[in-house]
Amino acid sequence: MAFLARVGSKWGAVLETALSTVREPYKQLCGYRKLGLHHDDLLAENPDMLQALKRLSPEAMQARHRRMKMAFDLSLKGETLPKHLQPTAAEDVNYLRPLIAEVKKERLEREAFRRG
Amino acid sequence: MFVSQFKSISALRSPKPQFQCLRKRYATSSSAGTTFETSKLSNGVKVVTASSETAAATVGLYFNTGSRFESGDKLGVTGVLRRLAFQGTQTISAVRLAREFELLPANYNVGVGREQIAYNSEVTFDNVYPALNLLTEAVVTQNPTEYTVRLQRKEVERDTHAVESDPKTYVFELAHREAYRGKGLGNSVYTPSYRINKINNNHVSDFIKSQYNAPVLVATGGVDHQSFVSAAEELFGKWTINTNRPEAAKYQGGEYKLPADIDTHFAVAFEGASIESKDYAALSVLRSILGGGSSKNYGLGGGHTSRLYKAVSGNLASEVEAFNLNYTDSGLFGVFGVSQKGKETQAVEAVLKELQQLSSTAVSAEELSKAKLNYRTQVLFNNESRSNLSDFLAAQLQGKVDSVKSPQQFVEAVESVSAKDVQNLAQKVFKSNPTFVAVGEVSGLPTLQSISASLQ
Repeated sequence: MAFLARVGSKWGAVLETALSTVREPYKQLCGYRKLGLHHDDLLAENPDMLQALKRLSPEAMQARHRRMKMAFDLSLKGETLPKHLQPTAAEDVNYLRPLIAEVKKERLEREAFRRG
Repeated sequence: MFVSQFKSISALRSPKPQFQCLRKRYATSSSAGTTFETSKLSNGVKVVTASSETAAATVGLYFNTGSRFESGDKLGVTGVLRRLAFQGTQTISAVRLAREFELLPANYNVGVGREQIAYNSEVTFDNVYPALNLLTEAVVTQNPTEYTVRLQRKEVERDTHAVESDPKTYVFELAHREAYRGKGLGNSVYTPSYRINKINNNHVSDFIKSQYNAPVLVATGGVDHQSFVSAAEELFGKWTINTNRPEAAKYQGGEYKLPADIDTHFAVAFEGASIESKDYAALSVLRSILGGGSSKNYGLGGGHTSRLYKAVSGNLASEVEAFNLNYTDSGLFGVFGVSQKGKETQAVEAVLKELQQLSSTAVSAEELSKAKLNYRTQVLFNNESRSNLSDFLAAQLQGKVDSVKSPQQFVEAVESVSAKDVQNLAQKVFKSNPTFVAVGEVSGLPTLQSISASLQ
């Protein structure tokens, strides 16, 4: 979470411990897992995110497409996945956000160079 | 293994000489204003400088690894490594690397070979240490990500394709492959096409971790030996050196003929001499005697008076040259040629006849001295260039040798070679199993057995 970095390490640590207790239940309550999606499948598109998508391995990209197709199908039929097929907390990892952070870092570096 | 801290560029203008560490310093030699000095750090890293009063310097980081050390799932990694060089690492991005080099100013390049991989930078004399620091950071912190390797695949494909479309390079790669039966020295420096999509970042990282562990530092031009050694100590003093012991090279010989719609490019090769072999000098003279030239290259250095060129005169071949490739424990000696249309068999037979001549008759004193002069000139002229000199010095330090010879010292070895030595060596070399590779109109070419028989 970007704002944690700005808050400062001491209060950031406090906030992190507080948030970590609600993170899992929050993601569960969001309901995207019922459609078989991971959190990073739902990120808003912006230039950084689209560049990061190009850096996904072909396997991760294929898995992403399949999850999205499945979600569209379920949504159309008004169904949800059975409990045992829904992604667990262990499966719902941040596969895209680290790449987006990298892309953003590189872009900022390039822009800093251009500014001189 | 990887140095995790690198000083910022501004902090490294010129290091304080630190003499606390145990360091052995070897013979100094001076020739024509260049002083050659070799030192060995306490952990075994070799540092060599060829200092002269010039405004520019070349700094190089050489690793004694290459395509020879590939096997199994690492086959073809060297070609990928060449394309990954300076593409950014864990600690420094590609953009920042390019920018920092540009601001020094310095240029940088990478060269890969069968037994050595070189990372070089050319810089002005007052920026040697920032350049060395940058170079080291770019090389040792390499830990490529999945997408970095995937993005370079197109480039690697292009490199491999360029080789397959250049018959001369292709013939040399084939000659190695057949001579060493596709292992070790037989591995191509260019990634085979069927391997390109199979190599991922884990293979590259594993190769780097296990192979990049015995650096040789070379600096030529406007550098001071002591300061350079101090800088090397700072960067590599804490490394544990693990000299790679490759599997012993086994020359076997073989043949390969590839039909193609081009003028026939062929190579006849034999087991040559290793870099440290006692036959090295005589073999170099033998190569000079054979010489070679191209019909497109008139004038000085065209080689039109050499034995090989005269042998294929009468329009048998448009280009012919003798080659002498030397590795740490083996070598490849032979003749490369491009025959004219319809004259393939005659060109090969003319070359073989010339080789047979050298086995049966000793050369005249005049021809011998001319060949020695030719060799001297070539080596000395070649090493006028700082980057060639750098490669020349690093190549000498591949084995157990701890001090380098200057080019002048190096060529002195041929003075004692006699005509009888050359003849005996020719007999020995040309009786070893030949390697015969050809690309072009190959249907009428002689077989390996007939080549072997004609040289007995």
